[in-house]
Amino acid sequence: MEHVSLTLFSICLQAAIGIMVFVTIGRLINKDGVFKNAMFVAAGLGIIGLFSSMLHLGRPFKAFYALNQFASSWLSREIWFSGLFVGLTVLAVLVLIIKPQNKAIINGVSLVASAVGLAAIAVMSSVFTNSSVPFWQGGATFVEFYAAAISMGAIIFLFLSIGEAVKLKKLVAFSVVAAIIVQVVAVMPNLISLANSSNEAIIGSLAILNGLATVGILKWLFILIGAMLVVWVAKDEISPAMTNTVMVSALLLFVGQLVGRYMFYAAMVVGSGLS
Amino acid sequence: MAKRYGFYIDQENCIGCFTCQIACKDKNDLPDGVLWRKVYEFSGGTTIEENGVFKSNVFAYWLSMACNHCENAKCVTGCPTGAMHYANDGTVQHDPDLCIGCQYCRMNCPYDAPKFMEDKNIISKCDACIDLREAGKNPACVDACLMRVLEFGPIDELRAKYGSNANVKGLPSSDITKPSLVINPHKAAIK
Amino acid sequence: MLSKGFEISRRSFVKWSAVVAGSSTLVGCMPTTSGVDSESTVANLESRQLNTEVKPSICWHNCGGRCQIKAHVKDGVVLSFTTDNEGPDTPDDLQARACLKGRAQRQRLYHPDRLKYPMKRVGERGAGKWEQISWDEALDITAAEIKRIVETYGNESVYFNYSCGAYGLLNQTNSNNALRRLLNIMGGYLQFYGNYSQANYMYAIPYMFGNGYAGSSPVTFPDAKLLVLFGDNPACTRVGGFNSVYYLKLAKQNGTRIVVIDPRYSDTVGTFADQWIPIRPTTDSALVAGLAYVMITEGLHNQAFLDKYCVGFDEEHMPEGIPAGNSYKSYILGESDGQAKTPEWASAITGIPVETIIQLARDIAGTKPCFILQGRGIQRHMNGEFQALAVPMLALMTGNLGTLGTNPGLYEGGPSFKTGSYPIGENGVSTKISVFMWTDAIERILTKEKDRIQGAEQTASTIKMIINYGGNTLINQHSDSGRTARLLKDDSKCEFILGMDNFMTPSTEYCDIILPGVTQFEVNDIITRSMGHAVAYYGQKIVEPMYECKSVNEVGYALAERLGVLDQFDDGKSDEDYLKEFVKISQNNHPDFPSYEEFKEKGIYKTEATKVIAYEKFVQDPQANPLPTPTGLIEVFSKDLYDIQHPEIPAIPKYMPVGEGPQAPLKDTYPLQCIGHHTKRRVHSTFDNSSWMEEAEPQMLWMNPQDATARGISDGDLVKIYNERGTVKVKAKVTPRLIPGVCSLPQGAWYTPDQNGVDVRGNINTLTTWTPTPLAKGNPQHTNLVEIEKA
Repeated sequence: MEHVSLTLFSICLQAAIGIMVFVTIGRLINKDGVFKNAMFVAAGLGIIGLFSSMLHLGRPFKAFYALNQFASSWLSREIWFSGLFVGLTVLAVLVLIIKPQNKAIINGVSLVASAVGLAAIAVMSSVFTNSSVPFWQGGATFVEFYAAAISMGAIIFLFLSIGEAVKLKKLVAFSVVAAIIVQVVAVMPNLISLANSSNEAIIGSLAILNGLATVGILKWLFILIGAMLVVWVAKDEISPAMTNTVMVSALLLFVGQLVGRYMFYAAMVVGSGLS
Repeated sequence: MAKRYGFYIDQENCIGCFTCQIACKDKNDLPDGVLWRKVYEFSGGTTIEENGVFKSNVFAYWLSMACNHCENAKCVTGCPTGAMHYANDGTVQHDPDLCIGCQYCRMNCPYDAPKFMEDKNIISKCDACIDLREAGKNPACVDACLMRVLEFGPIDELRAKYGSNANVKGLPSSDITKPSLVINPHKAAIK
Repeated sequence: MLSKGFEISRRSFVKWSAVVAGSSTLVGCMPTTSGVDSESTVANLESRQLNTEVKPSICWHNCGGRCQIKAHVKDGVVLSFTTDNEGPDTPDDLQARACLKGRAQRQRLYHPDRLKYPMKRVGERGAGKWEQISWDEALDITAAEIKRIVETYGNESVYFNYSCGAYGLLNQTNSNNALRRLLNIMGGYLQFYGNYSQANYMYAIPYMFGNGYAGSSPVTFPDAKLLVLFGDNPACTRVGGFNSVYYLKLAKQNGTRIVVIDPRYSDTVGTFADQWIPIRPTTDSALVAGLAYVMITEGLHNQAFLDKYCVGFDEEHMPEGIPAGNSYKSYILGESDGQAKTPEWASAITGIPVETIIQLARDIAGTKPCFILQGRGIQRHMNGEFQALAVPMLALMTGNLGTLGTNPGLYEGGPSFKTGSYPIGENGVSTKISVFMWTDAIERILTKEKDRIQGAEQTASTIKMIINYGGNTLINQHSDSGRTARLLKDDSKCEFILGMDNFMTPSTEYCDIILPGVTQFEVNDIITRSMGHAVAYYGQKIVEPMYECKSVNEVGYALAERLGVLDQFDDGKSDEDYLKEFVKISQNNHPDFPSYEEFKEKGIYKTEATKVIAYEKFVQDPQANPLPTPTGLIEVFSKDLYDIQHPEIPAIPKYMPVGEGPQAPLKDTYPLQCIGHHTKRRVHSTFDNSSWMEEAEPQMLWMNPQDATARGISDGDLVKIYNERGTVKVKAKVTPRLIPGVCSLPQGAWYTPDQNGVDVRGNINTLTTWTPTPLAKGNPQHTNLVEIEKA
């Protein structure tokens, strides 16, 4: 349950951040684009994510105590940044509802939300790279988190705004593919090098991952097929078939990143493996 | 800098009797599954029969671990609420009222000292028997030890007396959190 | 979650719930603020030790120690226990600290499975069907049964089973207690000799040393240059109090070299040994023979010492009338049987490399003083008498006797402590059976010739009634638990079994009437022990008796009244009157012993650490201080044994191969030797139902990776261990800390057969045999061949 709630939190929030990044870009490139669905979904995912994060707490009703230690705690910072991002996204959506014509404010708030969101991903990664779980330490965690945000955000954005995002199709495809390539290139060699580690905690983590090997295969299969589908749709004109392909691609990437993230948390073995 | 307190473990003479673990359990009334002090068995090597005779390079040793009240306690810096904090004597203490049960301290402590209490939904951990020490006594585990291999005191004094080693096979590097811990290692545990 | 796999407790708790249903008043007695099943406190809220009333109490079970524990009491509830923390705690003035078991006593006192009221069996014996009855009814039935059985079958049909749960001077399960006093008034009862701990040793050693039993005190460990331990694991069995293991540390720090001979790389080995010599179980006497060969052929033995102090080492020093070729030396050199006991011969039997044997012989012969020590494990074998007798040969051949730092290969000794004992009067029955043969004595008449009963030619009756007070030998600790259960199930054989205990153990399950007994925390009592120091502890009554629990004295009085012998039983003394009498005796013998009131208040008396040197006087002047042997000397060759003329009973400590040993034909079917080592988490079967102990050391079968791999078994797998006698299902601990060809199932786990009779808790006695050892008629519970497979 702990892993599930952390997985939902980070995946939903990262997807939301990714969507808002592309909404911001989209509104700048397509001056007529509103991207209402994408903004609503981003806000919704953000709220779901924040809510999920509370589920893993022993005392969810005291969750606001987690804001106490911004100065020292990456976890506290994560809550601040995540909360700020979701707050700004909700604000952008509210402005969109109340004063849709006030594009500058919407664009501005979206831009700030995206920037805070991108920073939030760095903070979220730091929560884990600064922990005493050797498997989480190192750059691969940053890559996993950003790649997940960009790939999911881009494809979900495209799916939700297929009419308005025509011009952005190639950018979306490029972003997804680039993110997945970086994810593969950074994460796979890291896993292979960890396999030679003599650190007992790493060995323990890898043993857990080994037990979840089927899930691991699914993760990469889903992510890679999802990315290939995007490349395929990028060269086609808009059609109902293409909409379906984008939907399938979005689903594959989302589920792939989701199960991958679950494995990331499940592999937690602290320090020397004492337990 | 405030004075720091910590444990000395003469691992060389520890027989792994678990008395410290049980004394802690009894004194702190810990539920099943929660051990503020835990004794670990480490063993390795091989014992084989070859040409009718036994050959062995086996080793076994014990390690009694509780909270090491680290100088760079990652549980403290990581705690989002301030529940995990330094007390005036430099020991790491946990305030159950502030704890939200996020368990991030468990991900931060390389010694597995913070424990999640399922009945309370929050963390608890070794407080170095702050109640007993305020009354001028030793922590329960120290006064329980049959082999007299556990001590508690100002870490500077313990280091002056026993050296500053806090690294043995099976423990993470002491660079991570700078534990207030001195270990006289078992011969098979020397890093 | 270790505790969740702890099926015994859950199982019996479920059963209890069924019994308790509808009697909420009893459950209401349970203090809800302190029990281990109560809500736990979070730190810092309220100290469980400060601002409490501290009362001295005791840990009184049958381990190698006895300890003071101090109860921290608030509002009549024990919040926690501490231990002796008085004095400087220096090697000369050590604190008698309790081990993990003593510190877990709160789990015994407040265990939800405590027996709460008397019960009567209502189904088949052992079927687990019980009915709650009143104390009056329980006592009426018991008195009537005592009367009926004594009248019908005679006093010799009544037996007190070996029980070692409590060792208070008043609440004493194994010897002087009120029930025995009562039975003696009624004419007596069938007695036993020996015990389950060291039956073979204590029967055999007197043939060599007279009434000798224990050696030098552990306080002298550091005075030795070399310490050789045969199958001794004080790091698990001699921990509490000021016990042997502490002095091993001092010895190690003093530079004493420590060698341990054991099939297991025990905790003692891991922490203290300079050398571990792994050996196949049952073959220690073969190792000794091989060592003797090296010493003799290399001229390393101390001939002058042997000539002066021993009989039977060589042909020149044999008792009159013994044919040539019967001396120990003749045996070693193969002059009597054509087989010289060369290191090669010993190596093939023991599994110890030839060069290791040669070097060990040279080390023992060349290092003075050398402390040769044996544990109780090596004699709990089918050839246990001669395993026990063999080890002293090393001390005798090297003259390591009677001086500081030496030990004659016997158990460690200690200073004596004198006190009184509860008076039980004269037993009208003089017949004694071996402690291990009571199941046989239920089935048939035992004889002096075949079964070595003492005090009579044969038993006058089979056993018709058993009193099982505070013991688990009725099922659990006796061999072949399954067979014993089948025997007891037939209540036409043993017609009445009275049980009194703190818990529903596998043994109380086979009683007809169960009486809930008090723990040491519910009475005043005293315990004593001799280890490094001699000690006496006073245990104050800490809490009122839980539920309807009563002490053995209360039961004795109530039964005496019903049997019409209260006049003889009641000598007008209260429990405290008795304790005062015992203290008076101690005061007379130990001038510094405190007043009764002071002793009761402080709860502890200890002598100084004492360097006892075994046989010091004898070695100084053997003529003036002869041993109580027929010759007054140490009898390497025993004419008494020789006269028995039995093929399995040699007159010298020979290696005697056993039917379930490493060379037995049965190994083709059951290729693994199975021993049952003692762990620190239990005292025999006491504490098996403690979740804290299960958390510390879960019950698992030890086996070597070689044997595990060959059977496709990984660490933590559930495995089946079986032989003709039974099957056990338990998890495997695959570890190089044990030699291949041997597995070890830690003794004391509570026998828990499933519907197919498979024990699912890990009780070694599911696999052990009723067959007694040839001479002592003792228990050979480490001699078992088994096979293991993945369950």
